[in-house]
Parts: sequence; C-alpha cells; structure tokens
Amino acid sequence: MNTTTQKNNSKVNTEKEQLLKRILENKKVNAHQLCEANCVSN
Amino acid sequence: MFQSISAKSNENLLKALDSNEDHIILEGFMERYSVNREDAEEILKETKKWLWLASENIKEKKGFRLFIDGSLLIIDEMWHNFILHTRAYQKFCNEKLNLFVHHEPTPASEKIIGFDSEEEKQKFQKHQEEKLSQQLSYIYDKLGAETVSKWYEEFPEKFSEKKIQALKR
Repeated sequence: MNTTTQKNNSKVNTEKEQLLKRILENKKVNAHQLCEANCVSN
Repeated sequence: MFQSISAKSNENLLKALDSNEDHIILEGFMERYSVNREDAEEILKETKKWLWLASENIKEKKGFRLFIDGSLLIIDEMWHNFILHTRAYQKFCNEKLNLFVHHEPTPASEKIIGFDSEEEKQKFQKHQEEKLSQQLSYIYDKLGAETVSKWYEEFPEKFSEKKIQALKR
C-alpha cells in the first residue's frame, strides 16, 4: 500500500468516525429531550 | 484495500433495483400519506437500499441483523406499504435481491417498558449504543457517508414520528 492510499484511507476512517460519533451523540441528546417533553410537571 | 462507496456505486445499485412496479407502490403510499411524488420516490429509493442492505447482511452471514429504530420510521412505513403489494414485493425480492426479506416486528413481550435499576438501564443503553454503532459502521461501509447521514440525520428530522402521524391520511 503506498503513502497516498494510506493517507486517503486514514482520512476516510476519520470522517467515518466523526460521522458515527456525531450521530450517536445526537441520538443520546434527542432521547433525553423526548423524556423531558413527555414528563409530567408537578 | 479500503473501498469507498461513491455516489456512482449507489446510482448503479439503484438502477439494478429499479422496477416496473414502482408506480403501484408509490401511488399506494401517496394514498396513505400526504407526501408529494418527489418525496415518495425518495423514500422508496431509500427503502430499496435498506432491503438490499438487509439481504447483503443475511448473505454475508454477519453475526447481527439490521434493525429499524426511530430514525428509520419512514423507511419502515414505506416497507409496510411495499409488503401490502405482495406480488410486487415477492417479485422484487426474488428478482432483485435473490432472497425474500422478512419483516419481523418486535413482539410486545420483548419490548422494554422499564428497568429494575439504574445499573440495568445503563447496561441496556450501552448495549443499544454498541448495536447501533455496529449498524452505522456497516451502512457506511456498504452504502457510504451520504446514506448514513440521510437515514440518521435528514430523515429523522424531516420524517419524525410526529410528522409521520400528521402525514397519515
């Protein structure tokens, strides 16, 4: 594997990691919001 | 060697999944949901990609099955709609996927309604996150970043549970 391919693969892997992390974080945030919207206030 | 999925690959995939029966499926969906044709076509296109991916997952004998969560509700709705047209659905599965993809709703007895402890809840949430991470990674590798973003960022916003309810005729 040459250096250019290694760099491209590394870049794609980072992009993949960032996208997946963003989605997982967002799902956690939204899950919490859903709970707040549905909670009954006393 | 890492293979990136290009828009061209997706385009070729969609051409392969194209069918003469699409208009029946689209008309059925638009009868049930107040969406325009452009949106209906997009949803059907993504649903076919989902079905293709599910068939690949089975054929590749991965140790996990793909699942539909809240983000993919609109794909699930189109899938239900597709299945109503049994002949067209069977034809699509047989001719385009070489595999019949079953739709299996989670039984009521398996649905989580609560937890006995905070520890149990956290263990469950961690497991769910790992499952989702595995699925996201699989979708990314097979269909690319654009599809992951569409299914888990664009669709949940555009077709949230509340918005889908409002669209039902």
